[in-house]
Amino acid sequence: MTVEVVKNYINGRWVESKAKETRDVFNPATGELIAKTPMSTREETLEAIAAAKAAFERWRATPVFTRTRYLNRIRDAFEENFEELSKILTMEQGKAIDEARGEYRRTIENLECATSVPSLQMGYNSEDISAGIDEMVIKQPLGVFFCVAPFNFPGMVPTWFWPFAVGVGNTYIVKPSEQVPMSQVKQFEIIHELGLPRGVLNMVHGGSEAVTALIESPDTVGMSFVGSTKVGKLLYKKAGEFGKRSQVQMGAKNFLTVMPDADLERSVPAIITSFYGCAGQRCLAGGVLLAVGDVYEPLKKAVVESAKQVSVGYGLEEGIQMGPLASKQGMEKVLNYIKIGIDEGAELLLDGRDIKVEGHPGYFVGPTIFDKVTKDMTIAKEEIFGPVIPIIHVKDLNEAIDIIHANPYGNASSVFTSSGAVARAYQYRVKAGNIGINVGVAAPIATFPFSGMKDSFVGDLHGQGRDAVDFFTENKVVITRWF
Amino acid sequence: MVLTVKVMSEMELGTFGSILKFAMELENDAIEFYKSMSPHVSDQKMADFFNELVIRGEKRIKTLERVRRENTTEMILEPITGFDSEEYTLSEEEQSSKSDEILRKQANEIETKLESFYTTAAKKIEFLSEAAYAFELLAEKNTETKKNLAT
Repeated sequence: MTVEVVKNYINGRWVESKAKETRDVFNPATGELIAKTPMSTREETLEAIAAAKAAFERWRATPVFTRTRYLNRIRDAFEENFEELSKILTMEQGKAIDEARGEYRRTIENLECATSVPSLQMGYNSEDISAGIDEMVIKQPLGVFFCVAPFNFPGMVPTWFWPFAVGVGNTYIVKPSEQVPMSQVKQFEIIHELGLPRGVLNMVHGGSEAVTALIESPDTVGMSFVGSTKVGKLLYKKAGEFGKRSQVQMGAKNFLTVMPDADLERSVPAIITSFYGCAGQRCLAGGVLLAVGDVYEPLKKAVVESAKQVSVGYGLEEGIQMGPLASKQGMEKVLNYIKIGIDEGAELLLDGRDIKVEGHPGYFVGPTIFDKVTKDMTIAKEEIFGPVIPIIHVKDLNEAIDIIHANPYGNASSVFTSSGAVARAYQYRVKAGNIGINVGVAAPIATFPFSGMKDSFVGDLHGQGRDAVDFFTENKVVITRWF
Repeated sequence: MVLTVKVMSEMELGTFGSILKFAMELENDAIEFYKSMSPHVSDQKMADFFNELVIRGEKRIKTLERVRRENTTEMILEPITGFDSEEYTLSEEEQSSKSDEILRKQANEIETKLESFYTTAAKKIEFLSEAAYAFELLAEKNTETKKNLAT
C-alpha cells in the first residue's frame, strides 16, 4: 500500500516537498502506517517565509473586521467538519474520541476569542501630556511569526497562536509535529477552501532543519514553541541570538495535593482524569499525587479502585476512556519509568505494563499506580508523560508545597480541599502557572493566558487571550503636537 | 497487582460520548418506529402526529450532535459510573397490522423510555450544565408527546 507523504502549504498552494528524508506516521492504536512527514529543507522553509513576508503589507492593511471575518469563516468550517477533524486527531494521536472532541472545542474557542481582535488590538491615548501635546499607543503587527507545535495536542495548540497573530495583521507559518501532521493538514484543507489571501497562513512540515531556517531567517520576527524543556531552552536561546521575540512553553511535573478535608467522591474522578486523560500526555496532566495526613489510606484505596475501572482501547470506539501512548518511543519511555520506579523501591499497586487490547496491537500502557514514593525518586521528579500515578504521603500542606517547590517545573498544580483558607494559601504560595482548586486539569480557556513558570516556560507573554495579542503586536508610541 | 484490561460492556455508558451516541441510537430507533408504523395507523390525526414525530426526531438528533460538539470540555471529561443502556433499549417492532390502540401504547412506551433516559442522563452529566439542560428539555418534550398521544 502506498502511503501519502503529506504536503506543505505555501502561498495558498499545496506543494510536494523535495525532501529526501521522511518520518513515518503511525496510528498508535493499531500500529498501522498512515502517512509520512517530509523533513522539509531549508530552501522550502525559506519559500514559505518569503510567501508570508510578501503577503504581510497587504494583509496588515486589510480592515480588522475583514480579517476577523476570515476567522469566523474558519470557525464555522471547523464546526461543520467537527466529527471528521476529531476522528483524524484520534487516529493519528491516539486519544479517546471524547478527548479529541474536547480538543477541537478548545480549538474553536481560540478562533472565537481571536475574533475579538477589533477590541483587543485597540491602543490607548492620553491628552495634554505636555501643553498641547497628546500621546498614544498603537498596537501594530510586526510581520512573519511561526509556531513549532507538539505531538500531544496537534489540533489545538497552533490555534493558541496563529488566529491571534493573523487576526492582528501578521502572517504566519505553522510547523506541525512531524509525529502527528494530519490534523493540521486537514485544518489547512478546510482553510484552503475559504479564500484566505495567499501567503497569510502557511504550513511547513519537518524537523530541526525547518525550525533552524525559521529562527535564523531575517524575515521572521517571532516564535511560539510548545514541547520539551530540553528543546525549548535550546530554541529560546537561539531565538534570542537572532533577535526574535519568543514564547516557549515546555515540560511539566504537576503535583496534585489532596487535603484530609477533600470531598473524595468528587475529587477522585477529577484526579483520575488528570493522570489518565490523554494517557497522561498532557502538559497539564497530574504528575505526582500528594496525600496529606489522614486522607492517605482512603485516597489510595479510592484511586486504585477507580483506576481499575478506566476502559482502555482504541480511541475511536465510543466509550473508551483512555487510548494508547502516541508513539512506540513514548510507550517505551513510560515502561522504562515504571521499571525505574520498581528498581528505586516504590511499591507498584497497579501495573499497567502487560495490558492487551484485543484487536489492537498498539502502544498501550494501562493505568499504573505507585505507592510509597519518596520525593527523591526519579518518578517523583521527572515528567513521565504517561498514565502513572506516583503517590507520596506527606504530613501537611507545608511539606507538600516544599516538595512542589523543590521540583524545577512550574506548569500546573491542583489542590483538593473543602477549606477556603487552604485554597487561598495554595493559589498564593504555589509557584506554578496554572492552579486548580478542586480541578484536576487546570486548563485556561482561550480568553486567559496558558501560563507556566520555572522550567515550564521561558518568555514573557503566553499563548491565548490578551497575552497573545500583546505578543503579536508592538506598542508603538506616537506623540503629537499640531501648530 | 497486575491490571487486566477493563472491557467496556456494550451496555455501559461510561463517557459523555457514549451517552450521546446511545441517545442518537434511541432517537433513530424511535424515528424508525414512527416512520414504519404511520402507514398502518387508521386515524389520520394520529398518522400525521407520527409523521411529525419523525421530523421531531431528526431535529433532536441535530440537537444531540450540537450538544456533543459544544459541551465536551477538557477540564471535566470525568468518568461516569452506574449508568447503562439496558433498561432504555427499545424493542424491535414487527411491521404487521396493529390496532391504533396498540400503536398508541407502543408509542407511549417509547416516549416513556426516552423521557426516563434523558432524565437520568441529565443527572449523570450534571457537571456539564448546558448538556444536562438540553437533556432535561428533551425529556420535557417526551412528556408533552405522551400527553398528546393520550388525547
